[in-house]
Amino acid sequence: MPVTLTSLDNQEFKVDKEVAERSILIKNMIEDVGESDAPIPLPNVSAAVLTKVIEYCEHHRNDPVQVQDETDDPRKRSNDIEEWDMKFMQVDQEMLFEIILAANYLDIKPLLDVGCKTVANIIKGKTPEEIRKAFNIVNDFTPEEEAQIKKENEWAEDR
Amino acid sequence: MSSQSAFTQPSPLDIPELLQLIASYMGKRDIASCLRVSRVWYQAFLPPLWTRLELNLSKYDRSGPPLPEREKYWSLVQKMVVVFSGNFKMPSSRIKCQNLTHLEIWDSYANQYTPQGLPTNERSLGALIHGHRSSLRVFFSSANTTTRILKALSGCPKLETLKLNSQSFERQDEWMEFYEPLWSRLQSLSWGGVITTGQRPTDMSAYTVALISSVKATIIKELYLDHLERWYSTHLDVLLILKSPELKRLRWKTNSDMEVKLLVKLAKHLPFGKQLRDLRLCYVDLRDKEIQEMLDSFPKLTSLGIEGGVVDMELLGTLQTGTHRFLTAINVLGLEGCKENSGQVVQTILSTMPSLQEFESSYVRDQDIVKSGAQWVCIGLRKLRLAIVLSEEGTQDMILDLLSSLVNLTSLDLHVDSAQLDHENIIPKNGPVENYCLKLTLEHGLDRLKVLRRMVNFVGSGLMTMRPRWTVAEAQWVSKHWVHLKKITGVDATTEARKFLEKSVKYSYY
Repeated sequence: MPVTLTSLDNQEFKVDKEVAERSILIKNMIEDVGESDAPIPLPNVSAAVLTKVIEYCEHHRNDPVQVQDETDDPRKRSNDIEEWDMKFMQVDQEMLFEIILAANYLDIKPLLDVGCKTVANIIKGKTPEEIRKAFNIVNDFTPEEEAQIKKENEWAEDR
Repeated sequence: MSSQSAFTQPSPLDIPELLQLIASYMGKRDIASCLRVSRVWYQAFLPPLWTRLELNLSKYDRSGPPLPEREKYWSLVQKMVVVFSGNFKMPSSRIKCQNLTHLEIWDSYANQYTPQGLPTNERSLGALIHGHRSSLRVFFSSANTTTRILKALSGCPKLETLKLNSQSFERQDEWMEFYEPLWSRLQSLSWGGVITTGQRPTDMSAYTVALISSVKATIIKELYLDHLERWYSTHLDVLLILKSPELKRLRWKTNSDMEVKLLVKLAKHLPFGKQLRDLRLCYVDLRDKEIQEMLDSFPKLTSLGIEGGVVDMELLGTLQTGTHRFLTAINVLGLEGCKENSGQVVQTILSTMPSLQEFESSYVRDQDIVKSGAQWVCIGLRKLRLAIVLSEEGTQDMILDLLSSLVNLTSLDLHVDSAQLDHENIIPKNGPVENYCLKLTLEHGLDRLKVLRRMVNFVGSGLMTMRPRWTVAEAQWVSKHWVHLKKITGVDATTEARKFLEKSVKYSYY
């Protein structure tokens, strides 16, 4: 049975329930409301982003549900992105950020993970200044503060 | 795109939770760079940097900042690893991490040179534990800890997991003193150690039986016991095992038949094994009817490992089709180091146990596979540790096909136990055993990639001294490009691709 989703700019998307339920938020909404033809409003997600998110959910519709990793290895890997996901994430930065926000809002954990891994890969090996430049972030530290932080956390940098 | 929005979306890079998720995919060096980006980032990236703190006291003066500078970060520390070298005095009183849950102690010096361990550090280590008693959940020590430290640990109300790698006691009543205040309160206990001597009751079994009825049950769910060095059987393992009705996982290395017999005997009368899912035993004779009965009485057992012992076709037949059916529920099976563990047994297991997810054994021969003619049915297999002996001509392709039919296989270890193969005379001709075992390196042809393409963990066969090892990234590269490689090359990759792949195979010394 298809489900209708309405984007922030009032576009309607008809998707299979199974696809829509990749989003835990939508899954819970459907469970709460029961079977209904009424469209589900997603006032936080634009049509362009929703199109991408649905594309992702379609591709991963048969994936097994993610189980929480019980191993206490704190270092997760960011170099294990699937090929399809890698291509899927080749978008401009604005879209990347919007996908991450949408995945966070819609509670689609695997998509959120892939998005965050992609950002982590952008950051890797860059200096603070290069990171600021890459993401257009303003440095709000005084030079003294930055030097102090560098000094206090230097031990981490030589690993 | 945001022109039609009624509000401006924040950037995910302003949301601390998302920044912390991003940090979980980065190393410390990159996290340290992120700290200096902006105030928001500083707040978000500080916790991931300090969650795990390694205090290497042996190189402290050189690379670590002086302790006081760390103080303001200490509330962020959840896991602390203290590495000692020699008799360095730990400044325990100055370390106050109010959220510390994990404490690991590595004292290589004490382990190597002084059997008693931590002689001069015990007071400061005791104080460190005491100072963190209200938050500590997990404690590990590589060295022998003293009574003072065990007392400090007994005073930690939240302690759940205790790993003591070489914990020796002089007498068993010394060990019993900690039964109620410590051992019985834990969820998980690993204990490798020795009870050296002591007044030993003349009838140990009777002594153990009496103890069992006098002490209360533990809440232990995981128990790892490794006591190969023990001089006398003390049966304290048996006591712990039998008094843990919630036990889910038991790994027990014992060199005493007597203890196993005692366990089997007493297990009949005690509520033992109802929760047991994972069992590893050493030197247990599966042919023993009583042991079969005991294994059969574990309703939830899905993972079984037997080290040493003998499994032959007759026994396998009994276990698979006889009255004892525990084997049918098993999906993780380890028959490592079983004597005379013939290839026929392995081939039968792989072709008759479709639910198998992990399997470990010593070897299978190509002729065993050819002779049985059966396909491997365990297509859900994720982990395999097995040497594959090639004793006949032209069987490689078949073996490679079999291995590539295991679509879920991500971890493969082709480790060869030369001594066993030699001993059992299964190598047809003269020459090093390794020459007759399947190798999966690129030197042996790109058709090997078919199998390797999914591997996350791979240990090739080859000599014990040198193993070709693929890093995760390399295996993934291969996996990603395999279809393409095959398309453009039809198995034989172009020289260029081949060169690239050969370059990415790293050799590491064993």
